Amino acid sequence: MLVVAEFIKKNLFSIFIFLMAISIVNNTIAESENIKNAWELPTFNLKGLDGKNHTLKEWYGKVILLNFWASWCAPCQYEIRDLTQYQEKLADKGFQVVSLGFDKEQKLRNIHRSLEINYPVLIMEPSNPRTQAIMKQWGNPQNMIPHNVVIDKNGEIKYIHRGQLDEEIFNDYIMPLL
Amino acid sequence: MNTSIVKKMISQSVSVILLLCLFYVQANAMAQQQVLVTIENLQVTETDLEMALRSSPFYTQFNTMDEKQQASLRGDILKRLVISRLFKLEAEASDLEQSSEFKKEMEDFRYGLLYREYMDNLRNSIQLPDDVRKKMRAQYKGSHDAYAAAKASYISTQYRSLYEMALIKLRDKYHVKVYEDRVSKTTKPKTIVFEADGGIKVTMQDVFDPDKEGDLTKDQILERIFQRGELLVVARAAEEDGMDVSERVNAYKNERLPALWIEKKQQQWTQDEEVLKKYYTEHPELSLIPQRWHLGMIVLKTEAEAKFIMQRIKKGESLFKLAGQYSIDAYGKAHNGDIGWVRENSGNPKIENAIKDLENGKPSKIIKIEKGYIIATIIDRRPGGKRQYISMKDKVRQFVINEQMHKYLMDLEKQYKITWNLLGSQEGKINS
Repeated sequence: MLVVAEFIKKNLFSIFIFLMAISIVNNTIAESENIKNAWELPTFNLKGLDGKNHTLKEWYGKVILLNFWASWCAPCQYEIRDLTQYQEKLADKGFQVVSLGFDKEQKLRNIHRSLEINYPVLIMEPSNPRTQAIMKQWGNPQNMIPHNVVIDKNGEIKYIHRGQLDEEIFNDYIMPLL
Repeated sequence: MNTSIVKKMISQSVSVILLLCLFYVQANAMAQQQVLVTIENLQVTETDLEMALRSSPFYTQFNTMDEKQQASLRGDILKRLVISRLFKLEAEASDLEQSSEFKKEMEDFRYGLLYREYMDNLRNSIQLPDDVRKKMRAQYKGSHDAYAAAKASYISTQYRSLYEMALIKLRDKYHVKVYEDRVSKTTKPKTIVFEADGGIKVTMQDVFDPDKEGDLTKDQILERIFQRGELLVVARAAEEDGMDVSERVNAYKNERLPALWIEKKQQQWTQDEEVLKKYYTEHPELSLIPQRWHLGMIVLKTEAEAKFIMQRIKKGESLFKLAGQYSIDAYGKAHNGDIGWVRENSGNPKIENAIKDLENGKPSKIIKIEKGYIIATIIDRRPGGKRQYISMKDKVRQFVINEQMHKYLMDLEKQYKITWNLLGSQEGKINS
């Protein structure tokens, strides 16, 4: 017991951080588990790079990958290249990426042009007071990006992923829905 | 012609030409092997430019830039690539490539690549069996991070045993011998301490420099011998397995040779301390520390308003309070007239002349500027001075290098044939 006590004493700070991390992850998971169906969530209405306002319901009936990203995030940019390819290949099967970009419109436009994004990009200006609420609604109260939400054709939220999507995740969680 | 005018002209022509070139290049993005510039027998292709751009630390920012900014950045990188090719030509014309240090560096790089390729192949040969994968998936359903960690742990364990088995196999195959009894701090540099088939040898001087590393223990030296020996044996096995890294070695050489060359040139330019001191003496403006003033200011639209405010200040009202109420300068108004610290010769000369000899806390005379009429005051001041050579030696060194580099690039442009494959027939320049 003495050894355990000594260990705790020496590593008090690390243990605290570890417990905090577990708590944060658990909270996040709890948030996301509460969400069952996308159509039951408060709808968002955001301006897209096409100049029009959009709500998620426009893509009702499709398998939606809701992708949260920012222009300054390198993993997001890598992910965008993959998502663009998936969108091109799988659009006929009812797959639709809908992305929410956190940044000023011009920067998002530049990324859209540079990476030749072929799916809708909705603008979440940093000054938008609803940004935090929207992120929280979609299982991401910590505002981590990239963040991805997979919604099936019935609106059921099938999977939430924090971090960059890879091929294996795509094959495991999205392909079976198409 | 005045040098600064020439520099300016060159600079402007380069910007225009590179912009034209890069718009042209972008329009032909499909032609990846398009040669953008030839430098004697060397080339810079669209692929080279794209690779340099992708490996640059600001690539993430690049995608967020406007088209003109992107073109300008691409132009800058293209220019650097051309300069790098010029340095390579210079290095090749010297004996740098033949030096034993350079040859050793290249050889070590090649061993490193072969070793890595061999071990990567080993790791990539590990497959997660279907049943294990399914079990993990079921166990960590919904938590991809946990699944990924479990998978990585499985592969890591498998790799450890594969790695150990591979080393044992190679040790037997190449009949490795380690002469531990020969190892001591006084062992002669050329003594062989590790040997294997195919002429693989490690000598003491390969792993230990008694002049610089006298405090290493025998165990630490032995550890280095094992590491070096493992590197050579695995590299040999990789070669025998048909792994070819020559393309990557050449790419590294093409990057390393120009870098070493310019390092050598910079040492040449600055190794004589007298050169640096002379530059310091001849450029007194570099060592000048400007006087600084903490400035308070109110800006008014008309002279009449300024006169009225001046009267109120003289009667005892605060310039700062009045600035917060009446200044037409948005920043000044928001900060109650506190403009912050300004350096001598960095602002409007009319204001500087009026405040230079002003006593702290006193209002200046009314100063007319384009924007309106100003009353300024000095809150605090820090005197100017001169920095000593010793405290700015590195800065002086950098100035000398910049000046020498400029001349050197001008010479190289004349010495070597550079052809820019641009729109129209304009000539590009590198030295701007």
